[in-house]
Amino acid sequence: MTELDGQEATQIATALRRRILETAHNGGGGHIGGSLSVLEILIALYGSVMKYRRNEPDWEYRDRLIFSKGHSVLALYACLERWGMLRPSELNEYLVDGSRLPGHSEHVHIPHIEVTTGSLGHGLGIAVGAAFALQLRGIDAHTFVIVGDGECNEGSNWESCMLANQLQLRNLTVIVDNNGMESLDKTENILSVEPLTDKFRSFGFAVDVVDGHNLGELVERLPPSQDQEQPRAVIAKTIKGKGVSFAEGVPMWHFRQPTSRELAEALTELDADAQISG
Amino acid sequence: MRKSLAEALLARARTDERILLIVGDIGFGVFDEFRRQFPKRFLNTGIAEQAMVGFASGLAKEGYRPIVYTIAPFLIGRAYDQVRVDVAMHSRHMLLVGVGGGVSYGKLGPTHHSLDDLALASLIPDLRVCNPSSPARVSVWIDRWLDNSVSPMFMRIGRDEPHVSQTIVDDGAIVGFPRQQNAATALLVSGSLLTWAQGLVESLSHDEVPPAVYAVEEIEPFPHRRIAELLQGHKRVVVAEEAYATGGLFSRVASVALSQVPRDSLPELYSYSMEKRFYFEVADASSLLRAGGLTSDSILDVLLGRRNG
Repeated sequence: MTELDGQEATQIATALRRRILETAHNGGGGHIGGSLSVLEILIALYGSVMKYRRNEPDWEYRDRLIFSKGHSVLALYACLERWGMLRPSELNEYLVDGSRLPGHSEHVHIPHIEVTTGSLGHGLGIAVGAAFALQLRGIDAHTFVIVGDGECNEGSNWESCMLANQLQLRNLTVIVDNNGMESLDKTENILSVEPLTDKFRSFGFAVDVVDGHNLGELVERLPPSQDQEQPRAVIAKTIKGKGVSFAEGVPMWHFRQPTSRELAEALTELDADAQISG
Repeated sequence: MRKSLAEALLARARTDERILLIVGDIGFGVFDEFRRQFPKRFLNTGIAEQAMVGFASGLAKEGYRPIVYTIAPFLIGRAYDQVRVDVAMHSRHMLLVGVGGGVSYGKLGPTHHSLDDLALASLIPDLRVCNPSSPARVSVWIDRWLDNSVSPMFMRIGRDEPHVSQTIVDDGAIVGFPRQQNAATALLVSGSLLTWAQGLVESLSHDEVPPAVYAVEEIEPFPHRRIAELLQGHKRVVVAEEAYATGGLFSRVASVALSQVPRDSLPELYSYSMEKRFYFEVADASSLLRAGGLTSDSILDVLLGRRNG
């Protein structure tokens, strides 16, 4: 686990955004919008917050990350590659026949991926079970589960929240990638999940609200506190398609293969932003 | 066979700390002794089947051996995607017990009946499926699940503790009554119908030759080879199941017959599956079996050659 300072963290985010876009272009498509919105959350977790061993994926005392919004796997792959848990340049094999990198996260191919997801509403339940098991065995490890806000439409999540509260799982953190969108439209126009903060509080969770693209804030606020007495929800305010102006908040970028021109424009924007912030 | 299940789980739990029992707010009084002896290993996760199955998957992921217990249609029907994805897709070494399979919930109405659970479960890859035929067989399957595989298993059991009076010959997947194995005709039933089949045979008069009786307990993986042998050993086979025909026992037996039995060895084959409808009538389980088409007189007529099916 390494600490991310301000400039390094920003550079990493820019580089991984490039990686996501190039991979989607070369591979034939991907869930770009959600991958770009969840990216900083993953960078914070892998770069600073979680304890794990890159060469020992089954290390008993590792923090568990259940990536429930499995369609945003491009961001997960990019981080796994960045932190040495995929072979160098393995992202080039994304969606290639016979490769290890399908379009939703799968535990079978990549040891560091804890569960197979893609059907939404599953990860939280598994995370509750994993966290309870760790508690039963007295293992000091935390379970993080990342869900999408659209994914919170699924009732199974709320069943699991009730159970997490009932079991008083202080070693569980649910992180909501709150980008306000689903596949076809804004969440508020389809099946609104707001107010998420009130909902999680009413289910017995301690709730934090953070800027999901502010790495400093994420690194500071994501780690669980020692005196956490209940399950915790971190509502990360994000932008779907973050970093690419013509993709931000645009439904068609939920799943897309960028054209060569779109890719070039996006990379130019990212480079320009990097120069400004650098 | 709830009592048998509770006893079998208790016995194993005494020597295996990985066993956890998770119920969906049902089973009043059934697991009292388990709760008394292992209070921290019994969890009632409420009326939330999807969460329950996902939760159990998380426990299994971390090395526990959870048993999930609720009413069969709610387990396989309501939480089907969790069973498929969280359990089978992840090869979780856990046991899913659907109680009240078939029409054993009788007068409580069709929402509690489950005539499709075995077929639905059988469609999921890497999920073993069993239907123990008697109380004594429950512990056999518990042991097989715990000791002989690392796969998840779905087990359908009834509510009652049926009494099976005759000695059962264990073939592994299929059980039967030994003295009738070389009979010309055979009654092949889904596991939970063994007692019913026994009653059928016992109703025969002394001068009537009883059929061989077999109960298929292992639904998935399906015992193709044994079924093929069995079919070749009899001239007439009646298949009866407490399930709809689609994807059921007869469809699988027929498939074996057509693909694995030499044509000149094929027996006459008859099917008695439950009529595919919802059973709204207020009736106990045995009456519902008759209402669904499993009528003793009709089946005996066919078995004894009084008429063709």
